[in-house]
Order: sequence, then structure tokens, then C-alpha cells
Amino acid sequence: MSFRLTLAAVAMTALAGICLSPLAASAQSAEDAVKARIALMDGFDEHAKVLLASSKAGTADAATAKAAEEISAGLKKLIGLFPAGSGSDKFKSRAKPEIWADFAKFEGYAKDTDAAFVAVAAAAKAGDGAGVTAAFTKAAASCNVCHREYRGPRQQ
Amino acid sequence: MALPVFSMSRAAPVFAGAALLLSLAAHAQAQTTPASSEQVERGAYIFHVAGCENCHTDTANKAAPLAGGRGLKTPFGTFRTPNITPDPTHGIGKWSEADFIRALRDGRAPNGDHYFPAFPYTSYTKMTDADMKDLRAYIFTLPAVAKPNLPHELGFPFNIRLGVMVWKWLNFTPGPLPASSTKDEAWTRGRYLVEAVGHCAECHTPRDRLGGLVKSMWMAGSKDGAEGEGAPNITPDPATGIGEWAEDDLAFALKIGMAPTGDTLGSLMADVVENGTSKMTDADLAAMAAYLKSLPAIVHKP
Repeated sequence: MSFRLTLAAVAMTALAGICLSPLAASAQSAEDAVKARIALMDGFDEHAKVLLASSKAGTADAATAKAAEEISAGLKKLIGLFPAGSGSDKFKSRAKPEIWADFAKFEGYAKDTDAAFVAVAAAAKAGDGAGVTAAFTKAAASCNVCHREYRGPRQQ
Repeated sequence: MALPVFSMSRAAPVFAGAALLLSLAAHAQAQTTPASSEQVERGAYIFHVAGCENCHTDTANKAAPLAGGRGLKTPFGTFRTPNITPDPTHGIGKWSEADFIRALRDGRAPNGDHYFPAFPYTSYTKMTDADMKDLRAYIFTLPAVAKPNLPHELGFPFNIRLGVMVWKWLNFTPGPLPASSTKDEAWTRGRYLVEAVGHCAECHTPRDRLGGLVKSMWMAGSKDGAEGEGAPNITPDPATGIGEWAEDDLAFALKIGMAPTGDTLGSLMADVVENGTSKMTDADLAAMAAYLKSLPAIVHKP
């Protein structure tokens, strides 16, 4: 008896879950996306520190290549973490509404930045220290282009 | 004997007049003599450090370079930057060297009007005459754009230009930087680049209610940076400023646009880096870093 009751309860809970899921999932996923993209970009900072040191010294080594590849891989994921309605108007986020006014443009910036980091990795693998400095200078400028346009002030 | 004396006294004003005409002719000739390529090149460098294009180009509306129109939002209203191309009607094409120097040194237009201090003559006043002349020479090589200026959008009482006279009396000390006897050449150069040409304090130093820089909070950051965006504390306080940045990391950050923390320097600073500091020599960047790191550390989170 108690087993059947439990089973029924589980079934109903599951049913309710399925029925409510589209609504719940979208609210949940926007919030998750904000958290995930912030974590991803905080991770970029750590990799960028490696690249800053390398480009300051003109170092082309495996660690440099790896840091650039990590950012490149992250940028490919990043675009999927900006669902509509996940901007600074609804969440504690610095994402400006301009992102969704022309999402293809935003996506284009991310692809350009990705390509810039691929070039950093290539220079590092080729053992070209001066190339690392030149490529990372361009990549950092690419980060700035996007942040200047789409990142709002830090929220308190 | 009396006659020569008589004729001398009659002749004196004529001589003076002739001398004046000669000097005017020489002046006019100086104006039309083309600048040397070295001067133009030096002027281009000053132009980038001074960041002229950041405010005088309406980038958001894809307007022509230096033709003005960009809106600068401030707590006092929105300023519309003027056309500084060499266009004779709408730009500065008719400005003599003296006119140009007066604008930067004294904050006054050729007709004597006082400029609002949104134009950072409060910093440019510290520039040398030579740098001002080079800057003008470079700007005069750029394309003229016949674009009329837009009026500022200011609320009362800030729309009264005469009020600027009072403001200047309170907040403005014209003239170049004093020589430094105690600091080395790099520091002195850094101070000049930061305080005069780079005009860093205009955004990074907080302002009082009348818009004057609060000197006791020099470079300690302001929540009313340009366009209403905050500008961070760049004094060497470790917690709220740049105290934890090594001097060479600071110089490199200005070159590349990224802080030692791995984050980009940010919105308006991206323009400053792209159009300015990324084009500076390593020696000048090191000099700026040396000066900034020598400032008194101020605990302030804007």
C-alpha cells in the first residue's frame, strides 16, 4: 500500500515536473547561462595572465599555446550562454541589451576574437616569441572591442 | 639742429608702423610656411597621446574624423564636441599658431570666448609651446570636413558661458608644469605625459559640485568619468588602486589594453589605448608608469 502510494506520488511529481519544465527550464537556464558565462570569462582572465606574461617576455612555449587554446575553446561555448532575456536588466550581469539588438554582430565579434586566439596558439607552437606578442596584442584589442560595445559598468 | 629732431619725432610712428607691418608680414609668412615632415610626425604622436580623436570624432554615428558632434554626457548636461578639422568655416582652418596656443593654454576661442572645461585645457595648459605647435601642424595636414557644430545641451545655470569665467577663476591655473629638481628625467617626462598631454586626471580624479578637480584626491578615481561611467582609482593603493601592479605591468597594460588581472581595461579606456597609449614608445609608457606609481596612495573606491 505504502509502496503504491509512494509510486503514485513519484509519478505525479514527475508528471508535474514534465508539465512545468519548459517554463522552469527557461528561467533556470537563463540564470544558469549568466552564471556559466561569468565563470567562463573569469577563467579567461586566468589564461590571459599567462598570455600577458608570455607576450611581455616574448615567450613561445606549450603553456602559452594551451592558454590561448583554452580561451579559443571557451569563446566557442560563450555564444551559447547569451540566451535572449539574460541581460543586465534582469540579472546581475554586465551584458548590455545591445547584444540582442544585433546578435549576429555580437557573434561575429566572438568569432573574430576566437580567430585571434587561434593565431596566438599558432605562434606559440611555431616557437615565435615576437609572433606571440604581436598576436596577443591583436587578441587583447579584440577583447576590448567587444567589451567596449557590449559590457556595461560593474554592478555593485 | 632743430629740423632733424623734428623729423625724427615725426618719423618715429612711421618707423613703428613699418616695423609692425614687417612683423605682421613675417607672421603671415610663418603661417603659410609648410610644416616640416618631422614636425608633422612629432605632432601626430602628441595628437595620439592627447586623445583628440576620442572626443572630437562622433564614432557612434560613423561621422568623419575630428568633425565633432560626439555627445559628452556630464552631470552638467551634454556637451557636443566641435569640429577641429582644418575646414576654414566650420573647423579651425583659420586659426593661427597663436590662436591654437591660446585655446589650449588659456581655454579661449580666437574671438575671446571662454571654453567650457569639458575641453580639457585645464590639463593641456601644462603642455609646452613646441608640442602645441607640432600638434597644430599635424592637425592641419588632415582632411577638412565642412560640418557645422552642434550646440551644447546644458541646463541652467551651466549654459551661461560667462559663468565659465568665474569657474576658471576658481579652478584653473594656466601655464606649463614647473620644473622638477628632485626627480629624474623619466619621472618628469611621465608627469608631463600624464598631467599635461594625456590629461588622465580629467576622468580619474573626482570633481566637486562645480566640476572642479578635487586636488586632494588626485587620480583616486571618479564615479563621474567621461560619459557618466566611473573611472577607477589609479593611485598605488593596493586594495582600491593599482598598488599591486608592478611598474612594468602597468606600462604593458597601457600598451596592450589589458590589466595584469587578465581583464580588459574597459569601456572608454579601450579608446584611450587603441588611439593613444598603444602607439606610444615603451620609454614613454615606462615614464607614465613611474610617475603614477610615485603618487600618494589614496584609499578610495569610486
